Amino acid sequence: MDSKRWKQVDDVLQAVLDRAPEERDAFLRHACAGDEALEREVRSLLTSEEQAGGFLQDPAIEAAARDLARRQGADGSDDAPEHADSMVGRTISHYRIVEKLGVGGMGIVWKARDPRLDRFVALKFLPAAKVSDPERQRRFVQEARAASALNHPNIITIHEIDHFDGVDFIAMEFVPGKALDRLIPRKGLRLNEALDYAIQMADALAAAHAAGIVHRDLKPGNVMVGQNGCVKVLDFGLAKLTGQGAAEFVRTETIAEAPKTEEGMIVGTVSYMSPEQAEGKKVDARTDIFSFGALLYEMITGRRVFTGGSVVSILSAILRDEPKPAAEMMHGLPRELGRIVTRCLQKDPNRRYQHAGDLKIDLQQVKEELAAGGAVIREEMPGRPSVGRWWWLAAAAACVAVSVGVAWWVHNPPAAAPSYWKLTRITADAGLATSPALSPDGKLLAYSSDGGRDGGLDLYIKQAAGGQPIRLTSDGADNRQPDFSPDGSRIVFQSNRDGVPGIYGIPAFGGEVRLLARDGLRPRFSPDGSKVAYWAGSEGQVQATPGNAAVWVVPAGGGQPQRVRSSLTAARAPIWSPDGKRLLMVGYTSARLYDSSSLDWWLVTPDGGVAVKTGVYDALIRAGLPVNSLPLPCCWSMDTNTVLFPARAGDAMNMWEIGLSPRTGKMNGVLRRVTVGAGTQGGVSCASGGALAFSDQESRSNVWSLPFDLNRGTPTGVLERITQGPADRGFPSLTKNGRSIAFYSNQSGHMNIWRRDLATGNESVVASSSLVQRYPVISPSGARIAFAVTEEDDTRTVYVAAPGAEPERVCEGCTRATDWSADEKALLIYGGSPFQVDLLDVATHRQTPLLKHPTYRLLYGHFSPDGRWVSFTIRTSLNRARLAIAPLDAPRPIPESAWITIADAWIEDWAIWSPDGRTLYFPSARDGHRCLWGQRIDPVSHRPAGEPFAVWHFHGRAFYHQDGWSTGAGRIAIVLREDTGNIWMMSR
Amino acid sequence: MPRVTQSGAAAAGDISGILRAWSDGDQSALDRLTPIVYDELHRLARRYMRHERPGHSLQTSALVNEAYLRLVDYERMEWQNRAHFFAVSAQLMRRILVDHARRHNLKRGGGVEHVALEEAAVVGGEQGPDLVALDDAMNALARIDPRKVQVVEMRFFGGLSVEETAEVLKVSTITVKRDWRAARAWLYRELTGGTIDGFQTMEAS
Repeated sequence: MDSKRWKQVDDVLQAVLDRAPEERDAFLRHACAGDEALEREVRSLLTSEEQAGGFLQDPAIEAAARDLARRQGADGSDDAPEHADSMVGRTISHYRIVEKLGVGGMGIVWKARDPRLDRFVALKFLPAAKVSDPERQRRFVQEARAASALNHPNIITIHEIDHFDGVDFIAMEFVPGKALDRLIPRKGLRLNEALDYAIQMADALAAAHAAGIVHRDLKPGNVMVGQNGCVKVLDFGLAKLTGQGAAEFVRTETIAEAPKTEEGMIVGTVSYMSPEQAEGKKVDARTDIFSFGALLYEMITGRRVFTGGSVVSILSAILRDEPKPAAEMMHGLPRELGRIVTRCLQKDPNRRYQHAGDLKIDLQQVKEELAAGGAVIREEMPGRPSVGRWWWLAAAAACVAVSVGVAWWVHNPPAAAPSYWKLTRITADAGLATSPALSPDGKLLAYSSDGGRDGGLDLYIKQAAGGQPIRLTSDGADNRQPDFSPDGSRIVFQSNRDGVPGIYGIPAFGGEVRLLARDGLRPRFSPDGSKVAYWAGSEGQVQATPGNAAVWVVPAGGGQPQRVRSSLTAARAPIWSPDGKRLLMVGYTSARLYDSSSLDWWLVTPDGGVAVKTGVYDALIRAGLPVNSLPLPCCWSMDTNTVLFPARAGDAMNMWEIGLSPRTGKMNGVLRRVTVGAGTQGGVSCASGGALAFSDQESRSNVWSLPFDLNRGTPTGVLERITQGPADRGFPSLTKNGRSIAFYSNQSGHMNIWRRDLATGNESVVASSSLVQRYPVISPSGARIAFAVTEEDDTRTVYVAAPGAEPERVCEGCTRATDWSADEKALLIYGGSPFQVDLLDVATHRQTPLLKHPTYRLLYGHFSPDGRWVSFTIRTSLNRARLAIAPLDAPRPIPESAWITIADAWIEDWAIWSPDGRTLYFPSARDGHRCLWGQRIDPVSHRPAGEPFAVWHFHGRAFYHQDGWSTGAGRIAIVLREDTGNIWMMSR
Repeated sequence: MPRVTQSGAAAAGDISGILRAWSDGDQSALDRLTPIVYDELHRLARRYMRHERPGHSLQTSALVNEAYLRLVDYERMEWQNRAHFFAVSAQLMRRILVDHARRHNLKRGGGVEHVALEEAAVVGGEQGPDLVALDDAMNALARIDPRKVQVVEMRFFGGLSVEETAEVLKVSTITVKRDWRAARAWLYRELTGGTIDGFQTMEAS
């Protein structure tokens, strides 16, 4: 039809419609004048007009809303904000929605970005409309909060439960991966895969049940499998809310008749419900065991265990039918696995597994038998690529919990025996107890502790079974890293006693301390007790720096230490293989700086020779363990042939183990986390029978103040903590009068610069920003504060804040300001490549190079009080530095010939002048302690006069960790860390 | 500078620029209106889920007003601009709602979200028009009578009254009413596959 013809039709139609209904027929025929097609067309439209009723009468948006309501009902989420376009880009609380992830058990799940913590989260909106009963709502939130406290690598971490715009939402850990229902192929998963998932799920259930939380809605859609094979169970306890549990469903609908699906009612998944759920009875943890059985059945066979054409027939099957045994469907299924499935699916809860932990152990047994070839492995599907077993196992262990929680659980006991591991706290010190060492029989524990006092770490020994500890040392030094001789009669340890850092020996129940070797760290007795291996070098620096660490062996009775020579260019942290024939150590063969391609655990014979690469580093990375640096091996359990090591993942450090053949150094497929939870677990020690001891530590940094006569170099009061709380703090900077201090802190959530009045204790943020601010330098009068900012593009800039004005950017591309001139018009800054020290005019932003060198890095300039000299740090190599001063009345840049070396220095620390300009103070570990030292300067020659002298020992319970310090009138301000922690033991 | 946080940082003030953007139907105009429309869509959907009849308590034009209020100084606007704005808004509403429905249909038909038998939900309620089919039919009608489609756009999608529609289109209210009833009949027949034995309306065009 063209528009002309349509115009004709329309004209007739309009004319007809203008007539009264009884006149229309006659009029139509007349108007069409024999054009039958026209008449038919108009009649047809007239009919439509009569029938159209409410068509298009409601605005389109209402029609669309009705449609949406219908569809959301089908999706099982009746109140969730639904449409991708409606949500994407929106900000909910502080989360910015990025995309729709999918439809989960509770509705639609969104991927969102949490800009505060710079991470992705998954957001779920709770169907508030359904939870009209406030009591139920309250219970739900309570339960969700309980679930959110579950801290387990296989349970999705709930970050937050909050209310926004009238809707409750949950912010959860974002797991890239797929729900299990998308992963199970028609013929079931590979057996190894199914077992891996099942073991992780059982572990999750065990942890949740232990915390009194029942899942109630375990089904494939609630199990996420990450890309690394790590399983995360979702929605613990949430089924209660959504009423998707049959209990809710059945309470209102008797199952004898077809459930009346009233308008808006959603029928949840029933296939995985337990019989007691189906009957609407009270449920407990064993209901999850049943659902788990149904899931396991499906993973193995690819079929649902209970099926039916309707809800009623499925429920009836759950209540009455004995499922076809999995073994009948999958030939060659290990018999034990078939039995496990059957036991989970018992109708009577009393006949099922009573604890998920038992279930997990049985599944592990099947897996280990499979791995050992002891069980019949079903034939692989033809054409399916066979994946090495190792990778599945490695992946399975790679689940990482980064959330903060209080409790932690024993996760995967290293031995497969079906008995429970016992976790015991061995020490209960208010301060720090660390460096545990078990005697080989597991009966004695040696450790380092400060006993809750200020002062050094002393060695203690106690019966692992209990009793009072015996203090072995009391010399004020740090005595750490003890290790028992195989017969338990002697202990070797590391100490900085008597100003001689090194390896010392002591009888296990006290006696004379003997120096075995200078400059050693972490000594370890050989299994035959004849030798002690240790390493020497720069602690804490694992980056490839050839020559900065070496492994040594010394006869246990004393003698000449021998360096273990091998192809490694640096090696550290040796442990003995259980047979004593080899040493496992961290090292690399590269001769180049920062070339960590060869970084790995290596096996070397104690008398030297070719080093054998284990490949552990690659394995850890490929397994998804977020290792910033390669973890150090701690002990090699002879019972399980696994090496235990602490590894940091997120904010937590947990104990892990990896299976390693002591003979070949080959990995045997075991890689798992042994402990989970927040905190820093380290320093593991193993004993026979698989017992383990490890430390669990927490670290805090605060600003401390020490009243001090800076000219005389003597303290005038007591060291005091002036800030409190667990936030990170650093780089205190005092005004000249010593009354105000600036420092950086994340105590408000962001790393900002704070200012504190020391007399009143009032604190305020200097310049609030979401950018990271650090390294404040307050001007002598306190009127201005210079600080470094890490910009969004990661460049560094320096700002100056003054009262009543926006902070001003004074310098781009410089790293830090380090001191103000006395007139507060200029700043000493450093930056560039290599670092050089410049003088910056604050008003004009003009920079004058003051100190530069073609290869050395020059940092941390500080003016002398008379403004005629500058002190600075010369970093000559990656781990060597010295302090120097230079005259400011020289040409600029000041020629190297005018520099005067004062002392060796730490690479990341500086020297500050006394008010009379005759002493330079600087931190140093020259006697093995981390302390503040002083060096007198000859007022005429400006050369060092005499030897450096110790000023204050910042190495007690609170110790200096290079988080910054400064001086003001009569005071030193310094950030000190305090470690607290205790020793725990895992045993049968 | 004030920002519209929900819909992606639209700066207020530049009325002519925004109007131009709106009348060009550019992406940013769509981006600005879409979240507001969806918010309302969800609010209404929730009421349906609770078995409330939303009725006509909320007119689409008010919704669009709100959208506009968030963008410009509504009071200072000339009526002519406002009318123009409503016309463009109605077009955009049509696009937004039809796109919404189109995705929905795709989802249903494409089986992307598999709904197992026992998970199927039954929700009662009056079936609204299939907006995707309606859009197709409107496109067909536009080829022979564009003004009728505009009327449908403004009244059904834009929520405008007969008077407002007449003002925007610069025609009499009688014309709007006539266009409306003819278009409704025509579209209804298209959507219901009503008997057409005279002209093959769609194909013949």
